[in-house]
Amino acid sequence: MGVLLTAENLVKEYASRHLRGRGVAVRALDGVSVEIQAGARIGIVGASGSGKSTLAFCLACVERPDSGTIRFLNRDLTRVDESELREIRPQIQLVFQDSASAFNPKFTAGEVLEEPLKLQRKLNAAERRERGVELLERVGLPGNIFERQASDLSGGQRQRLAIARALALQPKVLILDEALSALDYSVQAQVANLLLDLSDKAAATAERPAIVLISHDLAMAARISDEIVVMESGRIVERGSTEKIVGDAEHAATRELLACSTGMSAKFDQRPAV
Amino acid sequence: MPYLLRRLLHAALLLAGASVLAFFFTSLAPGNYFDEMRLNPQISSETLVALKAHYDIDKPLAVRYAVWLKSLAHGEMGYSFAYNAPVAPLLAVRARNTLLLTIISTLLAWCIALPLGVWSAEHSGRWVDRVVTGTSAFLLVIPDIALGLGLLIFAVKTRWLPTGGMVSVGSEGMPFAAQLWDLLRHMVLPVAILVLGAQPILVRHVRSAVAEALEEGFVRAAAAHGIPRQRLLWRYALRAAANPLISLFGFSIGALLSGSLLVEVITSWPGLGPFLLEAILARDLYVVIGGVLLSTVFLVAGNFIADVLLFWADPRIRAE
Amino acid sequence: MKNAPRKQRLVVTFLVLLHGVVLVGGFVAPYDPIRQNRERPYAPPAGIHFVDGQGKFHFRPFGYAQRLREGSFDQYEDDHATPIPLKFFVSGASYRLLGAIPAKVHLFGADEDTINLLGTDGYGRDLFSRILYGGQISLLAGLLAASVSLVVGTIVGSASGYLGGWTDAIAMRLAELCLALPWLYLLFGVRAFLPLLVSPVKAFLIVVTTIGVLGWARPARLVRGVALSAKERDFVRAARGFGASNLYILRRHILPQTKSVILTQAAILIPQYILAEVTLSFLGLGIPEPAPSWGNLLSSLQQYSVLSSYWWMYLPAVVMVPFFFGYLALSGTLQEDRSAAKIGL
Repeated sequence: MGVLLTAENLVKEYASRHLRGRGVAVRALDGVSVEIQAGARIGIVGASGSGKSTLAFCLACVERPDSGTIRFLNRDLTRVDESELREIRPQIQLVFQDSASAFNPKFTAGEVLEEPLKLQRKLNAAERRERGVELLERVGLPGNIFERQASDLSGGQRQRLAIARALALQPKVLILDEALSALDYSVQAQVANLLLDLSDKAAATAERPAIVLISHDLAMAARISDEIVVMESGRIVERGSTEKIVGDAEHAATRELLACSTGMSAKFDQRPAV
Repeated sequence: MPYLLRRLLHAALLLAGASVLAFFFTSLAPGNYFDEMRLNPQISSETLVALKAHYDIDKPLAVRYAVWLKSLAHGEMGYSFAYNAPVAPLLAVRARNTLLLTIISTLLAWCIALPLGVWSAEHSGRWVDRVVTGTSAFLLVIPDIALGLGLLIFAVKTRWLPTGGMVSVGSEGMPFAAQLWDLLRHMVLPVAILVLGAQPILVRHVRSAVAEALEEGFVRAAAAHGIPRQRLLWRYALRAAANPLISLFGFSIGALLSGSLLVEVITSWPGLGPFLLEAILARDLYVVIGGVLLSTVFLVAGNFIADVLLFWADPRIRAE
Repeated sequence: MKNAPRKQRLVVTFLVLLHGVVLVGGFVAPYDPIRQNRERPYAPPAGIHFVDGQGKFHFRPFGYAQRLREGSFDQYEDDHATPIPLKFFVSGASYRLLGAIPAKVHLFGADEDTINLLGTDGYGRDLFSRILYGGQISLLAGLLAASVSLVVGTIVGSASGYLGGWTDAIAMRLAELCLALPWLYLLFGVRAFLPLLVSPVKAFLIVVTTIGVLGWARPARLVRGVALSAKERDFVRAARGFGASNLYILRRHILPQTKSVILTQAAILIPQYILAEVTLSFLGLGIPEPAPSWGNLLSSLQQYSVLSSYWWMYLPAVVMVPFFFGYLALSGTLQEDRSAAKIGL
């Protein structure tokens, strides 16, 4: 199992304005280092403002850190130019928290799915359609939603569509930024199971993407991940295997997150009935 | 204090930029322009030669601009070919006349639009509102030129008002009160055209700003406390609507300045408008630039006044 | 349009009809707009009658020849001895329908003499015909200039909003400068330095380009706003994540969002620009003689004698009103659409 994506000492600041107009720099990331192995399942948890979303954006190359390096398969993404970055980006895909704004409001579900395929220009219209149906199947959506407006779908369906779209280019890393938080319980469970399926250890490592779930809900992260990283105020305060974090948390922040987590007991069955 | 200083600096920079822009316009067709100037019998060839030497008309843009700036520092603003005199004094008189017209029109327009708009918003949906909104819509649909010419025809037919110029012939000999009355009579027509033309937009915006302010929570709370209607309208709602209204004020100055160009020509009011037109037709380069920039000065000054009003009216800005 | 509310459909139909009449102006107008008739200068509008001097009713409308009163130079009287019946679909002066198809049929006309429905101007040219042809020019100028402004404004605004940085800073400073000069003064300032003594065609192009290019700033700002908010949306980020180029994102995701802003702006700019052309032509800086434009049709009113005696020369101004009403109503309904869309209707 090789190392896919590493972040070393990432620092990112945002200028925030106070009432009096004086800018105060806020460090969203303050020296964060993380390593993602191929086929791994990692959960990055923290309260709001801990910097986890910023980390996700930096890993997905949506934003550039102020300092530090990000390496993908040993290529330094912070030094690479825009055209090379465009080739690498499809391999690290991001699923957003708000599925409503993740799609162009005028697109149909079919157009949403086909967009990445069209951009990569390797398939013709018929092949794209075929692949689209495949992807829908994989995420458990019926093939007939192709013509429906993406904004007409339910929350759970939209998130699945977003995941399907993210998978279209066969990424090696799939990052989900609070992708489950806006869904209600039963739907969360379904999508969580989907993620587990996608990263099923039974399949070959090369075929399944590494999954990085960003969440404020430790229980949710624990359900899906093998490894958990806890963040607070832009720093990683604790990391370890799921069992260790859940069973024997050391840091105060971790314990707080455990206490807040939404009622699901940490020691639950991995696969409830769908 | 820094806020006002910042706005002043901004205004100054804007004017500087506008002067560069205006000079840039002159480079649009230098060949044709000066050829046409040569065709103009009012400009003798000696004048042209002298002008070329003194003002470097055929030199590149940057040089001409620098020379013009220098003449600006001397209070001249370039040289008028048609009048054979420095531009600034010529513009000064016209500018005064235009300012007179524009200021009076702005004040009158607001004095009418503000109460009308407030009244309309207060009785939103009832017949008062409908009449005001309807009349506004009717006026809005009539383009300025139609309104101006229409009122002019009306003045000519009824002979109630003088139909042109600023003062009657031989008015200098009259006592002051009579002169003033004469001036006012001449002002009625152009001011009426400008004010009527501006009414619909002003009334509509005042009405919507006040109507929105009346919906605000704190105004409703004040009403619930029993604050009397008039006070509620003027001291509460209007203050809440102050910001958009002050911006509207700045905008109205620009609109009235633009409008005054045409109105002055139609009513033969001796302001910047007709002078600018004359200069364009006579290819009087520096008068054109001077006229355009002077109107810009008025507009920028008007907007700065709006900034000052905003500063005075909005405590949040003072706190910065 | 099918989904448009009833009011909007009414307004659009109204505008289309109005423009349609002007579009086929060559057909509707009985006479050639530049044909002079020196024997009939400043003739008042000819009356159309159905009942003749003897009290007899005729189905076919008719008019009387207008002749100058003896010893007068601008007083006309109807020659009751010669009623001139109006015929429809007559053959008359040749013209080009829609500017291309040669034709000779006119909606109405008379064989014996000319009937000047709305009177004549100083050269005896039929005012009704000149208003129609003039409308073609003024309306076209407004429409074309608005298109120019919208195209320039959209390109600059979307690039500025999307790319940000220096492009945005420079573009917005430039916009602020252009908006710092009062509109009409800015227009005149630029027009001053372009050639004045040119052919009508060239003048038309100059006028359209000047108005259109100078009006780029407001649409640009509005489009920039749309681009700014659109570029922060997740679907744009996602597209970038799939390797989309900036051009693709602008074309597929940003530009479609600007459609409603552009439409609203169009409804506001078109009448404003028609008025700009009319003002320029009225003051002699626009379309020159003998080509008619609503503006230069009104310019004779600058003379006191015309103003006081020949009221029908004011009619071009009256004709403009329904068009402005239509555009105003249209922009009203478009604003309602946008407010409704914001609430999510």
